[in-house]
Amino acid sequence: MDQETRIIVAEDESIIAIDIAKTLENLGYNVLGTARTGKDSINLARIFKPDLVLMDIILDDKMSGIEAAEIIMNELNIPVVYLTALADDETIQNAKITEPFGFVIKPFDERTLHSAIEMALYKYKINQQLKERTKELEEEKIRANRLLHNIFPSEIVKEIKATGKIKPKEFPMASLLFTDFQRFTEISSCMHPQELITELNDIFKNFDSIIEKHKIEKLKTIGDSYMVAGGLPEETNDHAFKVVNAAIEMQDYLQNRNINSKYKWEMRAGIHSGCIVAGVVGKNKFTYDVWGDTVNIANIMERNGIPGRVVVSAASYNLIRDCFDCSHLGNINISNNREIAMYLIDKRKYEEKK
Amino acid sequence: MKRKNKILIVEDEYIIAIDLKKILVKLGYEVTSFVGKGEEALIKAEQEKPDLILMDIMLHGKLNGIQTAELIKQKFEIPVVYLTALIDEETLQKAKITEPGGYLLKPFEEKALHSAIELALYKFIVEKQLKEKTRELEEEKTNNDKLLHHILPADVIYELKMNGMVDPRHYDSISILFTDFEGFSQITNQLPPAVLVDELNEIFSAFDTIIERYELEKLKSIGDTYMICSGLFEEQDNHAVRIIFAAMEMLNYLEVKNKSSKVKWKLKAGINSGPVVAGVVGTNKFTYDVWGDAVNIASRMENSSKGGEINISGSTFALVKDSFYCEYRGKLSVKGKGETEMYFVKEAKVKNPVEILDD
Repeated sequence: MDQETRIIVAEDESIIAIDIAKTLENLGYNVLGTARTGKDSINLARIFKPDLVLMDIILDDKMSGIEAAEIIMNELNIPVVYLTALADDETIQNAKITEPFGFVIKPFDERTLHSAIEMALYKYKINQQLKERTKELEEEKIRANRLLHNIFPSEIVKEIKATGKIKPKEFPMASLLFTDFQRFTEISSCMHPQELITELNDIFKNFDSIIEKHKIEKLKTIGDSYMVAGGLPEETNDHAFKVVNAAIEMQDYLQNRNINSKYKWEMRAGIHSGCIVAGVVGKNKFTYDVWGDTVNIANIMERNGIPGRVVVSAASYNLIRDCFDCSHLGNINISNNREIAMYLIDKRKYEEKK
Repeated sequence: MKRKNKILIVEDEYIIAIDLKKILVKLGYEVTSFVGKGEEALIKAEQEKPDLILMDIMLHGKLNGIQTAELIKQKFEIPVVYLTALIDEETLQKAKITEPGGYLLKPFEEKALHSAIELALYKFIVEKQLKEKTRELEEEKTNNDKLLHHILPADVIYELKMNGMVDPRHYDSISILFTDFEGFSQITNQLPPAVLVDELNEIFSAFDTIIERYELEKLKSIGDTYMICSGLFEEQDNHAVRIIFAAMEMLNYLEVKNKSSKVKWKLKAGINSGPVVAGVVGTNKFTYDVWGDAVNIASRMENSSKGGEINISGSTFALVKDSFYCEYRGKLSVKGKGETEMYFVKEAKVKNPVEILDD
């Protein structure tokens, strides 16, 4: 046998109330109390949290049974079955708006009352289940979205949702940033593993928010290296500008952090702009990735960079020279006698928006 | 105007059936047919697809009402309301087991019939909605799990679910393999981007399958670099042996692929074994990663390797010298760490542990 169903009766005529309570008890329900007014019924419901309220539509009060029921159902989430002597259509229509779980028209027999209550309890239970499932489903969908956005840039998530796949794409002009910590191996060898990961986590989380703020793409971290792209997967004109700005901000963040931090991290940052192919490969642990000469050159820029500063290739320099003061650092040998000029970003030429 | 609900009557007493039909029509339902046997009911249920079936429990055919209802439930998902003059407990229990929309005791009033039908229809609809939602939820959960497995290793997901976070962990000895392609830049310049990415996708997907078979952990691909670990999570004494066999299989795969492929891929592999710290960092685009000298040396081993060769460090060699014939190549100076020996793996002295399992 299920647990006893607990009911509150709201009925302003006490003889009828007593009669209903008796009938309910005969049917095996537990009557917690009777209320004469809407207010009382709400208070009782609030205190006892019954499984169901049997509510007369007309009560000895300013507040009608319908108004009281509305509060009991919406705020307390308790099902209400209406009792009414009125076969008055308008009243019933009014009551229907508040989504009642059932009606019993007076005078009623025991069987009608019984089945109305059971039906109301059933409706309530299944509605609750439905609500719960819907909520869980929403939560799972949010989780799915978050996961997808962890793996892929938003534009790519849209593409997957629309077409079910990701087509590799060539970007004639985009910018790439690589960063790496100076003496990482040396510093990390004296650190406890937990401490190292906590440090990196703290720094990369802050980098993540800087990247997000500048509306460019973090591609991934590789050990202590952090990789960012501008101008893809959504093509923009100001990719080099955004990436340089983000890199400056990352360096500023680290310098500030070093003031009060046990470990002083010095980081190199290198940027290059050019043609990039982007896409996704593999069937496990895949990420959105980039290929091409531009990637290698950006990496070379980083390796030849100056700790605490941002260096850019000639190609990037040409895109941002109007916005930043730069100094020429000399030429770097890329491969097979190919040389590329490298520039150091000195400062912004404009006032930074606060 | 709302569509009328269609009802099929299964009742072997003709007069009662006619009477029922009249009442139902008056109540606003459409009666599609009335039949007297369970077998006929099955046929009509399929043809007419009623919204509900009123079913007498005692029927003259081979099937009684309860058996018929059971078949209908399995085949067509139509709610059934039983009609019965019998009130013995056993029959009632049987009827309840088949999850009927409800049952009515004969003789019944019009009002009782009406509310039993409405209740059955309502229950059927909401329960169907609930089932549908539950199914959607399960599907979404499965998809999410799959997605999550793309990001993190299974053991890390388990830890994440149990503790809500991933503790960084130190490993005394694991093996790390890096591979990349010789002359990749030139290939990049020759191939149209879409072809390049397709080729890489094909190769890395094949590598992923190999890695799965050897139960190793892929960490990520970085451009044309492919990075895996052996000995994470469950500490295995033969992590170095396993990773070398996997690398050999990757080389074999490419050799076969190259025979029928326009682009001839030459894979360079480098392996080192040693201590690492493993964990997850960052809020966006995070992955499971490893840190430590051992990782850097593995990368150096790959840099100093050659197309078609597996270059292993002295520490890996120490773990596998009884399992593989190796060729000593000399020493490599490692920044801040002195020198390390390098060996090319030539041939296995022992049986491949994965192939032994497959046999």
